[in-house]
Amino acid sequence: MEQIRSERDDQTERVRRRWDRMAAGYDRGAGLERRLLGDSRGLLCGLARGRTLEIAVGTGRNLDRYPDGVQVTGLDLSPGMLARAARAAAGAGRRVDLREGDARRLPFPDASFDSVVCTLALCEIPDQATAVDEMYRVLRPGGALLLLDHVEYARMPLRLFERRRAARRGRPPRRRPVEVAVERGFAVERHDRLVLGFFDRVVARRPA
Amino acid sequence: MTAKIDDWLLEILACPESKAPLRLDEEAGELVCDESGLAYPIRDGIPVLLVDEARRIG
Repeated sequence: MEQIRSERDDQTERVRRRWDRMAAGYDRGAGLERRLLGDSRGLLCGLARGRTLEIAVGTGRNLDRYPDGVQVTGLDLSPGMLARAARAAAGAGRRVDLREGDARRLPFPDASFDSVVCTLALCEIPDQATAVDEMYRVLRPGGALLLLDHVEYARMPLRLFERRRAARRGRPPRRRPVEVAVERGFAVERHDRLVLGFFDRVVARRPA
Repeated sequence: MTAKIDDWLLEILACPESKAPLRLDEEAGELVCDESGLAYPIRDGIPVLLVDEARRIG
């Protein structure tokens, strides 16, 4: 058990360092992303209400897209990303509480948020099911889960390689976020397939 | 370094290991979980709530 945990933690540390290195250049992809996904970020963030947790807040690209009155807490594994998110929050004139933490062990009590947002990040978390369980735990009953992610690994031909790739990395194979959400107890309200089905946008709710 | 954190923030912070509430040790600039015996640092004003980065106390 201890052995498994430390292997996982090495992996987490690698992910953390990688995103620290990528923090400076991350926003260069914004133009392309917008052409592919339109304002998917805005559409999802516009549904957030009350106390909102954004998991993998990154450089803070979503922070100016939340409605007024939403209190945002941003979590990320990478301090390099969080430093940028702090600047984005200041630029957007928003007070955002930033936390360095792991999506698989959220540093919040049960039922503490009205909405949880995670955009283009679930695919990077080494264990989707654990991460989604944690999202469920910190959402109040009736609270909204708002997800956007790319899912090429769940489609042919990459699906053929995902199992092997996951085994090599010592993690479970990735599945479509919508499937994981349903399996972990969420009620899906809306599911859109975007960009020829390579991206999923999901609005789900923790049952009241 | 003195850490400044609103009460509101502490209210929705929990230890990632025990999920118990955290208490601010202003002098040390750390967030302490008495249940798991871990003290989490605050770096550049951002609480670092990773078990691997925490200091084991007592």
